[in-house]
Order: sequence, then structure tokens, then C-alpha cells
Amino acid sequence: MALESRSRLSTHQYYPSKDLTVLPCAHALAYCTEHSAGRIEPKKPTNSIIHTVLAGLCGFRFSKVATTNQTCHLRSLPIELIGEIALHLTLPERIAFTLTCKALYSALGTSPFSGYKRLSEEECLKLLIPLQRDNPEYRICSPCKILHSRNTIAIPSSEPEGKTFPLTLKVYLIAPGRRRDPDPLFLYWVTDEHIRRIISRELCIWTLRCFGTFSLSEELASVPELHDTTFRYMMAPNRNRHNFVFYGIHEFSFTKAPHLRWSESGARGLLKNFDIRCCVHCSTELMMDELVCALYHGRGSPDSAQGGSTEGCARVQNDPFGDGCGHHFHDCECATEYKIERPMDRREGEVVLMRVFVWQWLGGNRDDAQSRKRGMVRRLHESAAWDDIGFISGPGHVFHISD
Amino acid sequence: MAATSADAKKVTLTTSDNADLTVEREVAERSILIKNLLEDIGDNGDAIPIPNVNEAVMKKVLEWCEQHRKDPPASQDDDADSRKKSTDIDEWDQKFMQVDQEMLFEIILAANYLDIKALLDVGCKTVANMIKGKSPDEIRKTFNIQNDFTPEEEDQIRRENEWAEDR
Repeated sequence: MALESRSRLSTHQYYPSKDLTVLPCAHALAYCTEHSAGRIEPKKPTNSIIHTVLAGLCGFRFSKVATTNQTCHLRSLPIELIGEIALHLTLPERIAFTLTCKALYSALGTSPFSGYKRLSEEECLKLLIPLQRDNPEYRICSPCKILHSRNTIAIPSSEPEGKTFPLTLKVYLIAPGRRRDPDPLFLYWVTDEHIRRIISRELCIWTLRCFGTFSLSEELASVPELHDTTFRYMMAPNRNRHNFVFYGIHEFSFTKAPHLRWSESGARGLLKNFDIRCCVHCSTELMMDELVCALYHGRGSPDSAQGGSTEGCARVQNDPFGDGCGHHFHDCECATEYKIERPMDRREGEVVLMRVFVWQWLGGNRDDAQSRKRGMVRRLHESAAWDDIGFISGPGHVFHISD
Repeated sequence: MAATSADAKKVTLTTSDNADLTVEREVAERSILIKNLLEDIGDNGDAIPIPNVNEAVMKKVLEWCEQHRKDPPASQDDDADSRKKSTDIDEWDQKFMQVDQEMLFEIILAANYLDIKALLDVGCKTVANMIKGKSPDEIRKTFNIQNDFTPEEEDQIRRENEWAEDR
């Protein structure tokens, strides 16, 4: 299995270097709820072909705001009345108002700007969202209270293409039900370049923390045992000194059709739709037995009244049958740990959801033998998360999973 | 034009376009300017010239004064910040302010000139509500403001301020 993974990888070529502007969070557009703010961008002006040709011929540059012959009545007001209007605006609104033209910029002054950093995250978003609508090339980062510039978010060769992926890709997630598409939808990806920039602090770690939810009634039409299935995921990497620690949670919650029996084949039918992996060399198929094992063979199996979990059972080379069932292992030597949870409905005794947690040590000293000691990656992640108090306790940034 | 003795409690206002508008003194006195004038010169029946306000705007202002004739006069407390922060506008006032922008700003200028604080407040709040939630570009479009910042100046502003990253 491992050899197969390796030979498959060896056929991949590095893509020629080219600059692709990636989304701020290295995330497919419109799926990440964490970075959804400001994503409703205004349509770009669609110049007619004639205009485009004329523009090319004349060197004419269409201005951002259409010039009209209409009078600007606002500017007929004396400065004191402009100031009076500004008194009815909140600080973010006042800043946006000030930025409209030179006259207002000088009339209202830049003193409101100095109070910007003291605003709450919510207040800052009230400025950043409108500003980003005017500057779609900038990206909002709410924890930083800032618009990240194009230079920060433009990362070379980072966009996954087609079925395959460049070797620079270190983590990725394909949308549920889209794994076998000729052009799969990548929900999330992290490349070497992201990791390098995170470690060198050129990129905000928050731009790589993504959260999303999928409702999968259509995708799972072939699995009649299940309905109302929802897939939620959280990608929350951390930086710890010179290390990049990836942390991801995949959660599948479902409602079992009352007249149908929840079976192992049902579980397999469900799971094959999802992209679950402990590292890039892994796949859902490789993890399938492990996942089914967690559902049926481990502590808290369907016969048990308790929900159970199987913790990464086979990732240590010299102890492949350590704590887990041993179904799943391969020799890629990635410093990875994972955990599978399947809480149950205590009244019905049915599995109601399944969670797969993945930790991976990327960048820095990932080849260090220490990194493959059980619990090491997780401890590194917890230590980084503890340092990042905002991540742990910041309002709106904790991924709540309800049992 | 002088007011007749039968209209002792009425005053006549002559607008900038020489139109005479006769209103009850109580209504006209919503304007602190007119009130002070009447107190200073006495009510001798002479028309009061309002050279900065035309007939159309004056009629709108008087319509507002008529509606609010019984309102308590603005107190010192009303000037406090709390008044400024709120942009809630009375329903009648909202409808009253549903006019084109030229008229809206004329009303604000007239309210400022005539010293009608409450009307000025309503006007400013109406404009503030038109600004709320908008981006600079959207504000420009709303008010036909020409963006006269050069791209270099826009970059400079971004660099100097904390909400945009400069790398």
C-alpha cells in the first residue's frame, strides 16, 4: 500500500512556477465561513467590446467611478455642517466618509483614524467590509483587524489543478462527493509556500484557518440509510516558533432513516464520499478500515451504550499495532497523528456523528525523530494554541461541535 | 408686505426670490433667528427678509415648523453627544425628508441659517443614514462625489493607516 502511494507520487511533476493569486485563506471561494466577510464583491465593470477596443487604441483608462455631470450637493455644505453630519456616524463610518475625496479628507481630518486599533473586532469589520468591496484585491483578516494586501496573499504555484496536485501541496481537502470528479473541488489546501510564509511571519496564520459546512442530501442519494447528512470541517493550523502544525477536524453528522438498518456497508457508502486523510499520502480508502473499525470494533461499538474513539493506531513504524486496531498504516514517515470519535445518541444507541481529528507537523523540524513520538505533534499543537489565546478564547473563533 | 392687524399673531417672511409667506408667529419662532429678530425689532408688521432661503425651501421648512410647533424648545442637554450618536428619525420626519438631494441639502443649509436645531439634526441624520454601511466608493456614487485622489495618494493613505497592510 505504501509503495503504491509512493510510486503514485513519483509520477507527479512540479508545476512550472507562476503567480496565482490565491484566496486569503487558501480556500475555495464561498465555502469558508470564517473568511466570508467581504466576499460579496461588487461586479467588475463590464466594458463593452467597443469600449475595450477603444480603450486599447486610445490608451484611455476607465475611471473607477463614473464621472457624471450631476452636481455634488454634499460638497455645497460648509465644513461645520459636514462635521455635524460626521457626528452622527460611528468611527468606521466616519473613516469611510473621510476617504471619499480630498476635500472631505482635509475637512474631517485624520484624527478619527487614530482610534481605529482600539475598536472591537466587530466594529473593525464594519470598516473593513466596505473597504474591501472597493478593493477586492485586499482580503479581510478579522483577528488582525486588517486588510491583507495582494503581496501577502499571492503565493506562487499554490492552486491545485485537475486530478493531481503539485508536490508542494502539503495539506488539502476535496469537497464531499467530488473526489472522483475529473476536476475535483478543492476546499482547502496548504502549500510549502504557505508554510514558509507562516513561519517567516509574512502571512497571517488566521488566513489559513477555515471553517465550512456542507449539506449533503444530493450527494448521498445513493445511501438511503442516511439523510440530513452534514459535513463540517475546521482547518486550524498553528505556528509554534519555527514549526507549522496543521490541525483539522472533519465531522459528519447524519440522521438515520428509521426504517433502515445502519450497516457497515452503509458506513462505507457514506465514508467513500468524503476526503479523509491523515497526510497527503493517505486517502479515504486507506483509512476506511480504520474508520469502520472505530464504528464497529472498538470500545463503544454499536453494541455498547457509550460513544468511543480510536486514536491513531498505526502511525509509529516500529509499533504499528500500538493502541489501535492496526488497519491503517503506511510508511510515508509524515509526522502525523489522528483520532476518530463517534459519539452516539444515548437514547437510541445510534451513531449520530463521526469526527476525525488530524494533527500534522509541517515545516521546521518535521523530520526530527522526536516528532514521530506518540503525542508529540498534538502537544506541539496544544502548546501553540495555548500561546494563541485569541484562537482559544476569541469570540466567534472557537469551532463549536455539539454532541 | 405688512401684516394686517387682524393677523397680529402672524408674520410675513420674504424669501430670496421675493415671495412673501405668511405664517403664524409661533410657527416662525421655531427658528431662533426669526425669534431673535422679532424680539429685537418688535412685531411692527413688516415682512422679515430671509435672503438665504428661496420660496420652495422656505415652504418645506415652514411645513416642518408647523408639524413641530408644539415641540419643546431644544435644551442644552440636547446638544450632548447622546443626541448626536442616535440616527433614529421620527416617522413623519422620515417622510418629510424624502426629497431629492438638492432639496435635502437646501433644507439643511436653511435650518442652519434659520437656527432650527431640531430640523438641522433631522437633516444631518438623514444624510448620515445615507452614508451608513457604505464604502467610500458607494458614498461617492450616492452623492456624486468625484474621487480626486490619485492612485499614489490612495496608496499613501493605505500605508499611513492601520486598516490596510503595506508589504
